[in-house]
Amino acid sequence: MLKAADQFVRERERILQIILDSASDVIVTIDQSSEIVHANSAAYKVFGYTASELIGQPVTHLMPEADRERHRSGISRFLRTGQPLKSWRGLRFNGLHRNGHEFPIEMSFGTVQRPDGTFHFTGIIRDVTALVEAEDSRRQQLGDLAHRQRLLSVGEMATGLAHELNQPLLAICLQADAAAEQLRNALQRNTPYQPESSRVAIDESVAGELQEGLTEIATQAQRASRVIRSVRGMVRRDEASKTAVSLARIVSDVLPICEHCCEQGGAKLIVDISDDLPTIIADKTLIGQVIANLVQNAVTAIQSVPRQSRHVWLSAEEITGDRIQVEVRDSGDGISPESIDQLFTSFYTTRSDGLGLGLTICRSIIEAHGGNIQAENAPDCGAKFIFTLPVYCTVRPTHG
Amino acid sequence: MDDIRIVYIVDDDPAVRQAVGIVARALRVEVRAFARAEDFLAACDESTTGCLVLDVRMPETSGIELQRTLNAAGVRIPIIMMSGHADVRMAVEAMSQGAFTFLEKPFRMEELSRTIEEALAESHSAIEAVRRNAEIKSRFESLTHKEREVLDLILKGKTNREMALELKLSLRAIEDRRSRVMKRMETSSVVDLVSTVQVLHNI
Repeated sequence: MLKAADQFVRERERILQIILDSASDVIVTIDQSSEIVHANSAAYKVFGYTASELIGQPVTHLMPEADRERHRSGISRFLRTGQPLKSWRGLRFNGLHRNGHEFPIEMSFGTVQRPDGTFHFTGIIRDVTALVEAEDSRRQQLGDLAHRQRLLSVGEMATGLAHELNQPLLAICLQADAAAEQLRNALQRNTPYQPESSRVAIDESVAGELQEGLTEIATQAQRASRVIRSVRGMVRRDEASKTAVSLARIVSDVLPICEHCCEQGGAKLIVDISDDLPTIIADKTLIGQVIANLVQNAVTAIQSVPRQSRHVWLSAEEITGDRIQVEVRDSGDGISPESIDQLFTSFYTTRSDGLGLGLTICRSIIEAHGGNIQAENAPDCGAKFIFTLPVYCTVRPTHG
Repeated sequence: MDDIRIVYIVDDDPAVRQAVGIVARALRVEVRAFARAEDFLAACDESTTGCLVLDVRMPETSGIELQRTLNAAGVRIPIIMMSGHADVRMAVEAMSQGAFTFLEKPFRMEELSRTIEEALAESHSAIEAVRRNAEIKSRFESLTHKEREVLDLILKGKTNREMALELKLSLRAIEDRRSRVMKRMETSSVVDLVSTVQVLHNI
């Protein structure tokens, strides 16, 4: 009878071992002195040690030096209080491979109380190197976008400044030139051929210096304007590189960013872009930036509606006049009549965290591509941002 | 032609209006300045002459829009377009809509003076052309029905003899009418007559 029970237990242990070994995650059990009492075969693939090599070793061998103390204090806190410090699920740590290489892991713990009252801890460990790399590259992509946006903001600001400053600079130029001219006329009247009565009391050398000074003022005003222009030129040279490209391609490049953004805002993104739209000539990053920006705005705009009705639609179609029309629509409350006219104005924003440059930049980009952009309220609900771009050629893009 | 030496300035910036005004007055030109496109539109009509110094970028109606409105309304005044930011596209658009020229801010007095003089000269010759066309038209309208018949046949290159046959008139009567046509149209030769009448077709 006892023998049969023994056999039953052994059979169960064998099955358990098979189950544990078939897991791709590492499953390690330690006692309360942190000594490894069991490990599955995945440990070899992830840490470089076989299960039998690990048994009897302190689990801290599998952690970088820096994490070991934290592990020990976590265990002792649990033993003292019976409470884990934080939820023991999906924790991110670094693992230490046999070859000394550190890698990111995600870990969950379970505790088992033994008949003798001591505890065993089981950890399920997943190597998340690939996941972290993907996250990093996404973060990088978003960072690049932010960098580009900053550059574009500089360009947009330079454009705004160019306009604002060239007005007074023009006034300075013309006033200085006109004053110099008046002085010249006054001096000409002082020649001996002119009647005494029309002469002006003015010292000729002083007048000459004044004239030079005035002309210099105009010259310097022009120089100041060139400085602003060169800032714009610099930003622009960096940014614009137009090629023949399909809209579907632009959208597919920028889709991860749009999806990420919708995910963050709890919105559903519905994309309807056909592959056979005609080619356009565009800087694909810039047009992508416009699309990303409009989607981002849409997501922000629908935060006030319940999560299940947060939708963002991105679509494109060919319209008459050899143009492609791209539309970003949301299911929010729409745009208030007082802001609809000012949406594309620099530094206008309805958000407390915004600079008010996003749409201005969008407009600059679209206009630089020979298109135009506008906002309106959709008839049913929500806001609609529409931009058009001229078609480069009606030859459909070839696939592949 | 002193009556057309008027420079209109449309710019939302008072400092620019004043400065452009000073330069224009130095040319002994009458200056009328407006802060908004609408104000200028209210003050002008088809008979407006002179030249218009116009800012591209203004808060309400842009310079390009004003230019379009003027074109549609048949106001033919040479436009000197000013832009504060080197915008090639806008320059192309303004020029393709028939702007006289495009100046990039900030420009110097000398350039503005020269441009205004050229634009006024253009306006002057355009007015001359209109006046001449009107004159020719009124001369043509003073012809009697019978004289027009002869004029038609002259233009078709018919000889006096052919005309006499066609109109069933004596050669003498044809010669009479012919000389009356030449006199009324104030032309001295057939070549002259043809080129004068040509103007009528172009109006």
